[in-house]
Amino acid sequence: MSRSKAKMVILKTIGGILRRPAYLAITLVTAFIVFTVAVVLIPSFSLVTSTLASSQIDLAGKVKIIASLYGAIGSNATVISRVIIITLSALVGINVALFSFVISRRFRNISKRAAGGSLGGLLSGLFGIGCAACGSLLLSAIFPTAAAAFLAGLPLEGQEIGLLGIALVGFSSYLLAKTVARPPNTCAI
Amino acid sequence: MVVCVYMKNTNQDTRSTYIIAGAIVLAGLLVAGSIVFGGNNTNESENTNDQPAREAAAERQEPSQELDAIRPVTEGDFIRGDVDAPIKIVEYADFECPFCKRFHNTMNQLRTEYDGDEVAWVFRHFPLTSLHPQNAVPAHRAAECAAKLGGGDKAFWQFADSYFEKTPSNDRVDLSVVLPEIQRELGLDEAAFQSCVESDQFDDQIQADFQNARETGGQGTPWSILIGPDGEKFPINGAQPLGAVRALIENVSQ
Repeated sequence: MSRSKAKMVILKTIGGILRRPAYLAITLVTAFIVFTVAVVLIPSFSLVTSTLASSQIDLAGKVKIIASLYGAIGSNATVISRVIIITLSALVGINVALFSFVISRRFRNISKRAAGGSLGGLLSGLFGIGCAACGSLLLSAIFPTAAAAFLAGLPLEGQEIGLLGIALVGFSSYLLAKTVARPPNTCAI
Repeated sequence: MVVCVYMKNTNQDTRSTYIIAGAIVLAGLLVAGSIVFGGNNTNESENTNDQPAREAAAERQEPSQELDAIRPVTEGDFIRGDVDAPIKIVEYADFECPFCKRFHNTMNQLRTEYDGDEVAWVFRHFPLTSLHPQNAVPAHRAAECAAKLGGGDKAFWQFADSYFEKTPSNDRVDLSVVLPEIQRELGLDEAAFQSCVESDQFDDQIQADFQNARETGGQGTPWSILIGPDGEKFPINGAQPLGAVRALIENVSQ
C-alpha cells in the first residue's frame, strides 16, 4: 500500500471512529477537560477556589466568574501557547477516544511504540500545555529554579515541550489508528 | 513477501495495554499534582535565586492566609481612585512583562466603566530581574523618579501608561532612548531625572513591594489581589480578561 493511501486509510479510520456518537462524546469531553485545565484551572486555581469558597458570591455569580476565565485563552497566552493549547486539547481528546475504542474492542496488537508514544506524548503534552507564557509552569511548579532556568534558555522558552507533546500525541494517535485499521492478529503484506 | 509483524503473545499485548492505561492515569495524577502544588503560578514565572523568596516558596501557606499578608493600602501607595473605595485591585507588576502591558490596558478599560470611588487601582513593584535583567529595575526606579520629580501619583501613572505604550516588553527596548522621551513628555528636569534613575534611592521600596508580592503568593506577573467591600480577597493570576475582572467586581459588590 502506498504511503498516501495508507495515510488516507488512517484518517478514514479516525474519522470512522469519531463519527460514532459515543467516541465523539469522549473526544469532546476530554478535549474540554484538557482545555479547562490548561486555561482555567492551572493559571487560576487559587481564584477558582477562592470564588467557590466565597460566602459573598452566589452560585450564579460563581458560575459567571469561572466561565469568564475561559477568556484567558485570549489575554493570558501568547499566540504559540494558544495554538499549542487548542491543538493538544483536540489531539488528547482524539487519542483518548481511539484508546477507548482499542480497549473496548480488545485489540491485541497494540505496539510498544503506541504505548510509548501515548506515555511520552501525554506527559510532555500535559507538561507543555500548562504554561501560557513560557511553557515552564508545570515544571517550574515542581522544580522551581533549575527547570525554569533551563527552559528560559531554550529558543522558544519552553514552548518546545508543548510542540514535542503535539508531535508525540499525534504519533500515538497515528499508531493507535494504524492498530485499528489493520485487523488484529494478521500478517502485513 | 509476507511478514508477520503483529503476531504477539497475549501476555505482551495485555502488558502494552496496561502501559497505555497506566500512562493516562499517571498523566492525570501529574496534572492534578501540579495544580495542587503549583496553584499560584502566573504568566511570567519568577525563578529568582533570592534567598527570602525561596524561603517564602518553601513555606507556602494556604492561599487565603497568603493573601492576608498584603500590605494595607494607604495614601503612600500609587492609587488610581479613592483610597477608601469599597473595591481595591492591588496589582504587582513588572514594567517589562508583556502580560503586565496587556493587563494595564484591561485596567485602564475598567477605569472607563467604574469610577475611582467604586474601584481603586493600586500599583506595586514586582520587577522580575531573572527574566528582565537589563530593564526591569531601572524602569521601576524611573517610575518612582517620575513620581518624585513630577509631583506624585499623577506623574507616576503618566509614566506607567507611557512606558507600557512605548515599550515592547522583555528587555527589547533601549532605555537610554525611551526614558528621556518619557521624561520630556512629563516635563521633568533631565539631569535630575537621570541622576535619580541611576541612584538606588528607591531600591528598598521596590524590594519591599517585591517581597510583599511574594509573601502574598505571587509567583509571576502580573499578580493582583482584589479586595472586596468586606475585606475578602481574591487572587487574580496573570492577565485575566476584562470580562473576568468585571465579573469579579460585579459579584463582590453585590
